[in-house]
Amino acid sequence: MKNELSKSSQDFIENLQLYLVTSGKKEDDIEDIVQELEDHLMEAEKRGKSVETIVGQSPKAYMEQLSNEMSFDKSWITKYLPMFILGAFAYLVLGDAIRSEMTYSLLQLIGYPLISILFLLAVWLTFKYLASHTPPKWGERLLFGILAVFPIFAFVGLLFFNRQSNQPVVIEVGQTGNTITISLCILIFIFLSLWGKSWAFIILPLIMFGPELLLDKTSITEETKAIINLPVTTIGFLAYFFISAKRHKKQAL
Amino acid sequence: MSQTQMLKGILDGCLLAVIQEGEVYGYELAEKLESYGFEFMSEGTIYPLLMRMQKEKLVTTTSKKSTAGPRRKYYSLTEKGEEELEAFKKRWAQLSLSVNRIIKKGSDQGEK
Repeated sequence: MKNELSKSSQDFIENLQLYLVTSGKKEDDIEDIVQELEDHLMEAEKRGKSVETIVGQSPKAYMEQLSNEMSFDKSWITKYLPMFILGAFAYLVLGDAIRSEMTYSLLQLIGYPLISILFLLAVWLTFKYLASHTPPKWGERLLFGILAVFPIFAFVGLLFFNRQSNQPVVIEVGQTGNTITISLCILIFIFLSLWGKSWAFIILPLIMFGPELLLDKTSITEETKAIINLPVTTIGFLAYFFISAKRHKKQAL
Repeated sequence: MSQTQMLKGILDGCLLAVIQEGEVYGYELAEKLESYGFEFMSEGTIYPLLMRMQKEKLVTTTSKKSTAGPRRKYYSLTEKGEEELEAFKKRWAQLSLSVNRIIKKGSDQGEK
């Protein structure tokens, strides 16, 4: 059905959706207005009208007008944000617990949450920006590239600096602590997947840490483990995203 | 005051009046407005207004399946909407009367 719309109308609809989502509007309200405008644009295009006759000279101003009439979805703060923090926390800690490396300096205790929050903020700002601006394709790619690389560099940088400057360890978790943490993290992932009705919260950590756990049971040397681990995990992630993208497409059709 | 600012309150009243003629969906509503001569504004302008009028319970919506396929939102007036329309009509009659008086008087004087 969407295919009947012209490119510029489709672009507008997609941008509007993104703008409203990043403005924290209710999902049902967004779907309502998007459907209504899609229908309107379709009817208008049948009669040879351009997207400007509907949206006006400034799509951004029009998106703002719509957004102003829609109420803010508080569940972003009361539900999604705590869930994200819980998930990110479990994800970060699980790896350390599996490797029995749960020692943290003050720098890490402050740095990890700070980087996570900064990353979340950067993602939000990027999408918000892209919803109402259209940079050239390369500019968009560059933005996403920076966004993807930022947390990796930040985390590795923090770890490196932490080692270099010999930060004193303030928290050290022993063997029992490790086991408790691992069970706790698994519980969190199960809870999140039940809450989000999505297997992603279980599958992603499984891809990330599963191979490592299995390899630990074998008698292969550390180097070989590391060499096997990376491509297996990467392929796992790619396969997962490929399959879920395909599924998503099927649902949309 | 810019044309758009002045229009805002008036547009609300016009939307109510068009909806009173009978249940309409968004595109239909925009076309009807155009047929009355509102061609200078972009068609999408009606949606933020409709959203607010819905929040203020002046209009209600029912979702119906259209012949073409997609579900459509049809707008109709609530009792409160009817009342608001009547109040608008009175305000407008008063306003246009006063404005006309001033303008007419001006031009009458000019003729003398």
